[in-house]
This record gives sequence, structure tokens and C-alpha cells, in this order.
Amino acid sequence: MKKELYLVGLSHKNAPVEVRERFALSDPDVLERGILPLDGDIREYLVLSTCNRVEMLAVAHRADCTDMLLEYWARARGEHISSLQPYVYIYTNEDAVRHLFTVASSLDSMVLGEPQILGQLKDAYRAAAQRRTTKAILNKLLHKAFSVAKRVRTETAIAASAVSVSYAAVELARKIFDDMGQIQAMLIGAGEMAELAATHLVNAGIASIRVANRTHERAVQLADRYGGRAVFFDDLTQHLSQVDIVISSTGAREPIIRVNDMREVLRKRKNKPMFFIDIAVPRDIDPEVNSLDNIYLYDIDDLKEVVEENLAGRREEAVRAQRIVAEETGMFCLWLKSLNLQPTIVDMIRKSETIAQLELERSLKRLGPLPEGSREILAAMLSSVVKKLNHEPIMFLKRHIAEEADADDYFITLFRRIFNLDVEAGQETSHHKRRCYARQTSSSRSELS
Amino acid sequence: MDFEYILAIGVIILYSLGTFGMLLGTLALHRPLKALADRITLAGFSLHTVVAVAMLASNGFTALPMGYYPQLMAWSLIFLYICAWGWLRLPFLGLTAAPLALLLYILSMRLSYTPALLPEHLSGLFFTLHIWSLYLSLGLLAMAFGAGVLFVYMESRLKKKLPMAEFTRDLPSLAACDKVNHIAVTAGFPLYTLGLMSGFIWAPMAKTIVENPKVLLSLVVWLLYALFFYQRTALRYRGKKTAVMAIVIFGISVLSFGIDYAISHHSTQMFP
Repeated sequence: MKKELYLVGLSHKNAPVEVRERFALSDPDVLERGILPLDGDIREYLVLSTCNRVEMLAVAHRADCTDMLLEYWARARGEHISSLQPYVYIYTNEDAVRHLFTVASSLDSMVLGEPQILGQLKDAYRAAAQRRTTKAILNKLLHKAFSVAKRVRTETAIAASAVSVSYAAVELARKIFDDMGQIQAMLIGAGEMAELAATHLVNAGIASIRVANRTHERAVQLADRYGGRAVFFDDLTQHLSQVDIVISSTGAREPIIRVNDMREVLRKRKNKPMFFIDIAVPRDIDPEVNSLDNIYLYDIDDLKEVVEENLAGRREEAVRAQRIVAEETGMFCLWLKSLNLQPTIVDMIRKSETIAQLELERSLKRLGPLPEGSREILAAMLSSVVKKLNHEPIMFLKRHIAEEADADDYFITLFRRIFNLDVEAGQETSHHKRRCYARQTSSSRSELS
Repeated sequence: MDFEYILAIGVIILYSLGTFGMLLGTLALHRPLKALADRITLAGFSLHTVVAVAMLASNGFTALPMGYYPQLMAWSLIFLYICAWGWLRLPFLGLTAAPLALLLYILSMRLSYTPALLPEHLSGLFFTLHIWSLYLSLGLLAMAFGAGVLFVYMESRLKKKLPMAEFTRDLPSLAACDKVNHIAVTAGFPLYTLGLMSGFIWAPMAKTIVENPKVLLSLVVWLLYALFFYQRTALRYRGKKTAVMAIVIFGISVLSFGIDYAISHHSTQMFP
């Protein structure tokens, strides 16, 4: 029977967070005991559960497999299927492949092009492989999904630009400074976004970070977190000449860094460039500072604008990425279709070999004793003839199924009829017997005459 | 068509492919194309070296054709690009070196192949000091020009908070461009001075200044180069000011080079 690919799921696009919470399948206990039995109908499955989507991918024989999947899913979460059905999307075969490739390439993510989804999909696949719920089709499909995601990232700029304010600041720093390993940074004040930017900078491999805060204890805490050192807020100006990047986020009502201070700082620094990231509102750094040579100042609005432009860029790149996904989906579906051929090809080879074996046995009986090794030579010759005769029809079938869309059923049926592959063993035996009887009768007649 | 000419055409084809490959690869952010263009340029450089050595071997220092000098400058440019690539990891300088080398090579083909005779006593040390030091310093200035153009573009986008063109994604940071500028001035100025001084010592200076505006322009370039050197080393200038300075000095150098070849080659004019 033909194997079909099914994908059922819900995501941030069609289900609110409360629903995603209720039907999440990330609970290790649920996954550990397996939510689906690998019986005769469902041959393979994989569960992907993240904060933004829950999806089940399955290979099954049954046409009503999706109901069964939803039933098991709802039951695993202690819910009724009717509360799940309104939120789910269902894809089969080509659509399922396309959707998986789209998800893996982060084209269906809340933040277009974000890299986490690929890691989550890899984790889901690893877990499924450990539980042995993936086999030939899903193994191939998932590996293909990973390579499609890689291709999309390599050939498009979908993930090239930062889409968070904190990361955008780090990306800008890379445009200014050559070697992040020699960069000294300073965090002034605290605040979620400023701390996040500092974390990104530390992750980017800067040499060291200093932290200044009006409350020195808080500065010490933050410095410990980043492996940096706390400095007194009153000594701020003297530290400025020693740092390359400054992230400022204090609650000051007036600017704490002014253009005249910076002229002196630049002189001390021998005009080495500086990058100021002012996340505070009201701003901590006098905007005039940006007019000085070798100083680059970005405030929160500037960074948001950068993020908006980057997001627009990603949307443009997504169109190119979709073309790659479409191309790869088509190629994978050809392979998927060729899988439907396998039983027919196996039947045909088996039938040919059976006929050849029977004919060989019969001929050997008639030939009587033969020199040593002759039997093996005849068997090999016959096997080679069978393979060569089968080659062209099999290639014809593969070629036409690859070239003509939705023609696989037609060609497989035609092929099975031409070669009489669906005849049952008993029928064939009696048919064969009849032919043998007729042959024996004609030979005894000729003997008599 | 002689064999030397066929080889020269080969160099032009390879430099052209390298140049367009680099430009296309950079604009389309296609790394394999850029890598291929680099290899083609290297192949062009190898063939160029063979042509230059063969020409030197057959003509000697004293009877090199006029076209040899722009060829030599093209060779210096690609040589410096290879150094920058290997030492500073700045392959983007190929965007400056390859097109300029191509233009100079084409110019060399347009110039006469008639040997420009030099007196024996001016050939050895004169050739080494005057020609090589000048060409290497101009090559360094060309690198600083390329880095300067990129610096000015990126700096103005960063200052004005405007989005950068997509092709800049793979291009180096402002600091890397500034590093090229620093090397070009600290190594280039002493070389230029050496080249200019050696030219004045070995050649009758007074006559050439009057007769050849190229020499006057060379002095202007030297003065600007000296100012540039002073700003960079003593005043610790860096960034946009020095990038603009490099662009201006290179522009005047190209002008003097153009005037020199528009009138005729200054060395041959001196020694008919």
C-alpha cells in the first residue's frame, strides 16, 4: 500500500499562546513514553514542539491518519480532539514537505530568519531518532530539511542582518572596529536592553567590559555577571578615554556625556574611534557628540530604525528563499514518488526471477547430467538476461513518473496489468500448471506420432 | 603577431576576467565567484611576471620600451594586492588593484614598443631606486585610495544612520580601511621621497621642471604626501580626514601620470 506523508500542527499564526500552551508536546514525559503506537498504519513520526509551534509529522498507510494523529495528540494533553481541531492545519505529501522546508528555513517563524528553529528541529529529530520513530522517509526528509535551511541561509541574506535592537548595536560595532577581541566596552547604568547589548558584545568576544552605575553595588553585580570590572560613576570621564564602545542607559534627566568632554577624550585617545549606544530616554549622551570625527552615536530610535530596515530586507530575501524551498520540494517529491514504485519494481524482479528459476530447473531436468560448474553458469546467464530485460521497462516507469505530474498511479497500474503482477500465487500456479499440462500433452502427442 | 604580443593579450584577458569577476562577485555577494576572480587575477599576475622578465631580458635596463613602465606599475599594484591579501587579510583591495592594473596594462599596449634609450650610467641604480620606489609608493597610494573611498562611503552612512548597500556586507570595517591608510602613508611616503630624490640626483632637475609639468606635479604630490605623513604620524589624525587626503593625493598622482604620458615619457624626453 502507498505510504503518505502527513503534517498536522498549530503555530503562532493560527493559535493564540493559551492554545499553544495547552497543546504543547514538549513535556519530556509525554515524549519519553511516546504518544503514538508505531502500528501497521503509522510507520514513522516526529514531534516538533516549540513556544511558537507544535507539529506532528507522520508517514502512514491510512487515509484517515490525520484524525488518528489529532486524537492521540489531544489525548496526550488530556484534552478532547474537538478543542484542538479548530486551530490545526493539515498538510499531506508535497504540501507537508514544503511546509517543513519553510519552517526549517525560518520562513514561517515569528521573527523571519531567526536561527533557533533549525536547532529546535534538529533536537526534535534527534529525540525521535533515539525513540526509533523515524525511518527511511523521515530520516531523508529531515536531513533534506536541514540542507535546505543551510542553502537558504547561504544563498540569501535572510539572516544576514540583526533584527533586535541589542544585536543591531553589535552588528554596527563590527562595521566600525576590526578586531572585536581588542575592544574595551563600558556599560553605564542598567536596563534590560542595555544589559542584552552588553551580553551580545561579550559573546562577540570583546576584550573586557567595565560597568559604571550610580549604585556601585549594582555595578559590581553586573560586572561579575559579564566577567568585567566595576568602576565608580564619578570616574566616568577618565574611563571614557580607555574604552571603545559605550552603552548607556541611566535614568539621568540631563546628558551625562557632553560634546566638550568628548573633544578632550578624543585627544587623549589619539582620535581612535568610539561607538556610543544610547538606550536611555531621556538620552544620556549629547546628540552633538555624533558630529565629532571618529565618534559614532546611535540612540534607541536610530537602532530601531536599523532593525526596521533589516526586517524589510529580510522580507525581500524571503521571496528568494521561497523559490529555493519550492525547487527543493519538487526534487524531494520526485524521490517520494519513486518510493511508491518500489513495491512494483520488487514484484516485477521477483516474478521474473521466479519464472527464470522454474525454466532453468525444467531445462536442467531435460538436459540430464552436465559438466561441473555448468549449472552455475546457466543460472548466472539467466539472471543477467532477466536484469537486462527488466532494466528498460523500469527506467521507462521511473522516467514517466518523474516527468508527468500525478501520473504515478496511472503508470503503476498499467505496469502491473501489463506484467500481471497482481495475480495471486495460487492463480499463477494453476495458470502455470495449465500451460505445463498443455506443453506435456503436445510433447506426448509428438512422441506417439 | 609576435609571441610577446600574444602573451600580453593573455594578461589583459586574465586581468579583465579577474576585474569583472571581483566586481560582480562583490556586488552579488557571491563568494565563489570572488574566489575564482582572485585565482584568475593571480594567473594573470604570473603571466605578467613572465612577460615583464622576458622583456627585461631581451631589452636590458637601457632600452626598455615606453610601454614597459605602466606595465611595471600594474605589476606593482597586483604585487601589493597579493601582499595585502596574504598579510592583512584584506582581499577587498583587489577591487582597486585589479581594475587599475588592467587600465595600466591596456595603456602600456597603446604606447610605443620602440625602446626608450637610457644612458648606461642612469640605468642600474636609477632604475631600482627611482622606478621601483616610486611605483611601489604609488601602488600603496592606490590601495589607500580604494580603502579611502570605502571608508568615506561607510562612514557617511554610519554618521547619517542610513542603511548600507547590500554589497558592503562582506566588506571590511572602518578600522581595517584606516589600517590600509596608515600603512600606505608610513611606508609609501619614505618610498615616494626616495623615488623622487633619486630622480633629481640622477637627472638634470632644472630643465625638467620647466619642460615637464609632471615633475612639478610630482613635487606637489610630495608636499601633500609630506603633510599627510605629518598628520598621520605626528598629529595622530585618522579616519575620514586621512581617507580624503589619500583620495586627493592619489587623484593628483594619476593626473601627473596622465600628463606625463600625454606629453611623452619624461625620461625619454630628457635623453633623445
